[in-house]
Amino acid sequence: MRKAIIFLILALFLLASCGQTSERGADINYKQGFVDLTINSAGNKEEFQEQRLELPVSLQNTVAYDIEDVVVSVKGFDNFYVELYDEHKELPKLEGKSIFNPEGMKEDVLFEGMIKKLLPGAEKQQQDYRVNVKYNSKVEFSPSICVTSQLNGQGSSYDTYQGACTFEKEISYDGQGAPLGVSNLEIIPHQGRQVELRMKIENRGKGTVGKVSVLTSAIGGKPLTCEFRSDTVENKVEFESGQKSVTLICAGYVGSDGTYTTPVFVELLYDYELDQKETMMILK
Amino acid sequence: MQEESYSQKKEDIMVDLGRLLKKAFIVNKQGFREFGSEAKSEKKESKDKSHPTIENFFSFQRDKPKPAMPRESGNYSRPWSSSFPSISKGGPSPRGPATTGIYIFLIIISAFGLLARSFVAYSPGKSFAISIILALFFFFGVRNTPEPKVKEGLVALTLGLDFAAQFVLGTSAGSAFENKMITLYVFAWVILAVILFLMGVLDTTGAGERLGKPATVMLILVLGTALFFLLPVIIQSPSFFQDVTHAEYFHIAKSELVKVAGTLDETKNFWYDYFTCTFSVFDGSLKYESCMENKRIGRYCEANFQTTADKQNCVLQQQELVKQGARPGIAGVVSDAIKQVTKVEMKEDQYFPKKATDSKTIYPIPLKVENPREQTFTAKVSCEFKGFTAKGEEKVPGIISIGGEEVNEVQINSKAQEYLIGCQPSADLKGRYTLDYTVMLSGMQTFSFIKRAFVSKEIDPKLRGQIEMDNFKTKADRTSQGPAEFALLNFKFGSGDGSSPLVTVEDPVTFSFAVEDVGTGSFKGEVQKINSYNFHGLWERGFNVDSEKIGDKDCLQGGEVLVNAALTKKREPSELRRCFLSLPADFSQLQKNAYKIETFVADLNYDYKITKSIPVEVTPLVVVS
Repeated sequence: MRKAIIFLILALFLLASCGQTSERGADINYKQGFVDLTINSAGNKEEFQEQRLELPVSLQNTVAYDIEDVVVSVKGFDNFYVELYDEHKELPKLEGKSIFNPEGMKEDVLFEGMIKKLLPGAEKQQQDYRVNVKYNSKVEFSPSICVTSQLNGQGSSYDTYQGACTFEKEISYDGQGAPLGVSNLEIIPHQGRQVELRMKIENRGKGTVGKVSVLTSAIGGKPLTCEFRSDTVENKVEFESGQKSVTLICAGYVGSDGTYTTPVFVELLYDYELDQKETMMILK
Repeated sequence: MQEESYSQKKEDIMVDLGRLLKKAFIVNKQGFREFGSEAKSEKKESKDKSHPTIENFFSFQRDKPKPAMPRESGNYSRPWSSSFPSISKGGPSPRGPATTGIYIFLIIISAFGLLARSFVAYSPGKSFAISIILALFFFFGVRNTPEPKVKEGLVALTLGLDFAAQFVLGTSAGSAFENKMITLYVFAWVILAVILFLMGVLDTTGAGERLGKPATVMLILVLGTALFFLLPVIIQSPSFFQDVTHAEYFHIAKSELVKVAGTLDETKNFWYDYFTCTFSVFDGSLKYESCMENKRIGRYCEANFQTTADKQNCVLQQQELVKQGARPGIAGVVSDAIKQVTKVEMKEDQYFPKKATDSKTIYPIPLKVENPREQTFTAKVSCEFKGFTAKGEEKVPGIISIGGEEVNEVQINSKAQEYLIGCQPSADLKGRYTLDYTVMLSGMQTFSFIKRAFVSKEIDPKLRGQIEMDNFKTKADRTSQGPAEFALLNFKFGSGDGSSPLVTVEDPVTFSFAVEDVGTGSFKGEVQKINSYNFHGLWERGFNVDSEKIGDKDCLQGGEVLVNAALTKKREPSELRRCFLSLPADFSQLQKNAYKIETFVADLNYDYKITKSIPVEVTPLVVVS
């Protein structure tokens, strides 16, 4: 009886373990949501005057894509009080979250410098500074959408129902695992097999997006022609200060007549800048 | 039993007296009437009230015409006011016989009061008596004018303010409002007289009558005086002196009003500038300060350049500088961050003989010095007794002793020191005097600092805002700061009053500095001289005076500069040097969103004079043989 109970417990333990492994692995989709890089400044909150300064900064790529050409900077120190020997540090690549690295790659950077003397008669001095990270990365948008080549009498295919799938004109998305992503897709069927996709590319991260360009775009394996709705006619756009979204318009042809589900793939490259405010008190 | 009845009687008498007084008060409230007139007016009143229902039917009733006062030759007494010329031409107005004479008389009386108080050196007792006399004149004066109740109220208010000011000044010396209080106290009755006069003028003109000649002359005088003092005061507000004795009240009050005029002493053509610029204010331009600045520029360029072309060029460049710095003043604040501050204080203790019988007694006062930064400077002390006698002002120099030794100068270099300063009159004293101790602090050292962000013109507006938010949160962060000592070295980059924290590296960078007198305490202080100034934080960092542009070559480092109260005691003191700066390479090469934040420090060496005034009274004992 005792042996049977021990066996049962062991069996249950094994079953439970197997179940967790499968959930942690391939079933988790990291490419969802709007996610930012994690910056952790582990420097002391209080430092003394005329001392060496060590400011460790830890970066964790919690984004679902690799980030490249990473430049970490510490900005905003008053040079009268703090002298940093090197204000910028470069990192070649930080791998993003994946089944092999579910937490995302972590990297520590150390900034070194010197804390200078306070003003005569002063007992402390607060310093506000910012840890700034710049990088290049990509984001992939790969949904399966219902397309149709059958227009109704008014030249519109709204609310068309076919057996294969239900055609929806507009679909909302909750990000693709990066700070920048597609939040809205509008599908506009045209005469014949022509289709137009209007994507709202939105920055819902805490940082600022610089240039965005379309690297790959296809529908059902056939290439799409894309351009941003802005002054530029190229497949590139630069976000202006404070700008949060831009519309990408892609046109292409579906593979066959009728209403059916087909994959869309749009890959965007972008550069991004994120900073975090920190405070340090210099004591006498 | 007898005692009881006596007290009862006394109580009854008191009650009767109270009733009598009450009755008298009510009668007075109704207005004194002449004998015999009461019955007639009452009769008429009862006639008018014959239909009370109709009378009271309307909630908004018309004013009843007041019964005319009978003018019987026998008992008619001529009003006091009628002995003066009328304020208006054309006889008595419907508003009543407002009289110039009364108002002018009150102005003259208030001026006499001013002189009398000055003569008695604002001694509390005599000033109190003068206030009472003035109040009586005013009360009787205004009772013979139209709407006397309002004016009587004003007189009562002035008397109340006068007493309150005397009380506050006598009990809490050194308060923040002391100088304002003194000004109010000294000029209260004159101000009231002028207000009453102006009310009379308004009464007359409001009734559509013309002013008489004396009133016109007085009105011109009043308005002219107001214009002279008020215009510059409105344009730049005066600062206040510190602790003073009663004897100095008039001078302080006067200087409060005319201080601003002193700022114009630097220009030789004071009157020309003043009137020209004042009239330009009337034109509607309202740019008194810039007008004065343009006059200064004109003379500066005339004096410093030979050819017409050079002069014109100079004027244009100077005007450009003024345009960039709309106000020539430079803001600065005392820093809370600097805890170690040098303090010098002179305050009499309980042993100070305010009243003495020995005509040559020594008057001791402790001189306390806190010198936490352990600077080395000297304190040279002198003293003088000022008395006011029938012959005029009497000045008796004093002999100084420090710590019992007959020396008048001491070097200070330790963290905290206290010296007992003795002042002995060089001649026998008798009567009331003001004892002035003067300490000249030579070689005082202070420093100031300013934090600035250097950015490119092309910087992202969002980042620009973020830099300001992160680094310049308070008003103090935006200006130069220094320890709470006696003098503050204010300096700025660029335009305005110097509170703009961002410097754009592509634009020509102007730099200027000023010295502000921030000495506070129970004394009167004044920056005497700047011995040296050194903006080492700037030149060590690579900033240089741009010699190709107009400006002072000794802008960043220099020696002696003579200053006066007009330059240093303003809220935003006048700049002493101004120039263009060339930036170090790492600043001028900043592009797009790159920026640098840096604090710059400057040193100042100066002389400061402290004057402490204490009233003393000497009553020598009479030896009876």
